[in-house]
Amino acid sequence: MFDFDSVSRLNGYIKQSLSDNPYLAELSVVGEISQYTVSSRDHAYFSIKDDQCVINCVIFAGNRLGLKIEPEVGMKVKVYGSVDFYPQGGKIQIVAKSIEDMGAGDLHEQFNKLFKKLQDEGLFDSSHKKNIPVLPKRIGVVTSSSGKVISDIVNTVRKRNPHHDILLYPASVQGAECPAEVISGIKYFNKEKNVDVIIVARGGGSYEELFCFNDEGIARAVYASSIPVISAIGHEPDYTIIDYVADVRAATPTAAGEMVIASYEDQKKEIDNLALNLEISIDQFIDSRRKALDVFKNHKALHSPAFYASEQKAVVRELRTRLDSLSGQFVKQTASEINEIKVRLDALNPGNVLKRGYSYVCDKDGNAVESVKRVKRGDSVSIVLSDGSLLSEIKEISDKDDGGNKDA
Amino acid sequence: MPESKENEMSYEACMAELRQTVNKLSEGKVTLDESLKLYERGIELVSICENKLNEVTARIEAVNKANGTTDPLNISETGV
Repeated sequence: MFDFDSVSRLNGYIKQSLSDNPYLAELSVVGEISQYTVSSRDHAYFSIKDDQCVINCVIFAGNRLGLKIEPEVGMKVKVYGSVDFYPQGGKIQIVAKSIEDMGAGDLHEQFNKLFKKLQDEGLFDSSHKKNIPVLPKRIGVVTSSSGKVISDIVNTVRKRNPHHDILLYPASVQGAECPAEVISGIKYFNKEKNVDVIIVARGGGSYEELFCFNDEGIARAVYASSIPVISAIGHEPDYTIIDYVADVRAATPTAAGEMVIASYEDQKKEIDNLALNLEISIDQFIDSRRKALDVFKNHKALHSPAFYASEQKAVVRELRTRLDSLSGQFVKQTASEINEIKVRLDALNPGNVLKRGYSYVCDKDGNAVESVKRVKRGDSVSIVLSDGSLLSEIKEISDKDDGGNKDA
Repeated sequence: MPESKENEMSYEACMAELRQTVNKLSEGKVTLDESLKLYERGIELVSICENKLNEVTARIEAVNKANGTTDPLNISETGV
């Protein structure tokens, strides 16, 4: 075993070994640019990758300004240069002398191809999108059981509404196993039908890490799901294919938690408001009907003395009873029925009968005289006509029952 | 209205019917009999919605892929 004493000596040795390696001293490599930053001194720091690996690169100002292309993220390039070890930072990078454009990057090409295929098939159609339930009893989550994502979702959901069940389907959310596990999660929930909504979530990551969600199988499983699916992959502005197929796309896992649960307080408030409106509406409704009835109640036909003197008092009593019951909450009469009664009462009003030429007789106390037996010759009586009365004295009485005998 | 039918109604459907009921009643273009029926139905819906809002149980579980059961999942308030 060789003892290096210090990190400086070790790093110095690594740097020397790398520069001694002829394969690393002069090389070219193809990759896709996944980061690209130009420093204030016009050097460019960038990285290139394939679908599994990434390496940092630098191109210094002198070489960069001589380039025929303007490199950018997503561009597939061939980098010429040497591998260099930076001992102070302990990092390996390619020091590039030149960069050539190789056409669109592989991953972007894959993405675009799949995007177009699924779009043409109609998997992204808005007509296929399902509504997210306002109050799911149970929320299915497909994500890693070890990451921060599940706790973010649980905590968000709990904060907004403590009355919910969450069922996690643990799945890898990166690497080769990711698509198969995410698909089996979506299928599990659809088979068991034990959740009302599914969230497929993953925290932020690099383009490569998120790339497994650009999977045709996942897209088809989401499309086939009869349970609404919310996608929450990475953080805004990352978009993967699943985001286009899902019924709703959430910018972050936390946003998915907020989206899936209407706030308990908000819902409670809305129910209370509706209950209050219900009371106000029924009160106003009864009130308006009561006012309509009061108009009839105060009608002068119901208050004339002649009316009270008649046997129609009973009708009034009945009407009163009805009016009283109408003022209560369990009103059963309608205004139109009352209107009919009013018309009938008008027809029966004695005042109207008198107008047609009839009259009636009252004794000196004002009581109606309905029989000749109630009076005798010489009594004073009033004959009531429609527009006044005549004071009269009985001169002769003819009783039908007496066979016409005058003054027995 | 049978109780089982109400249980099958989603919370959204109950809320939608409640909103509709209140609107109809507040417009006042119904007969007295109808208004009372609406009122009674409204009161019923308010309690159905409240029950639905409160009935769920806040269980946090994870699917056990080995045997297909669902086991409680412990999540700390601050995150894993």
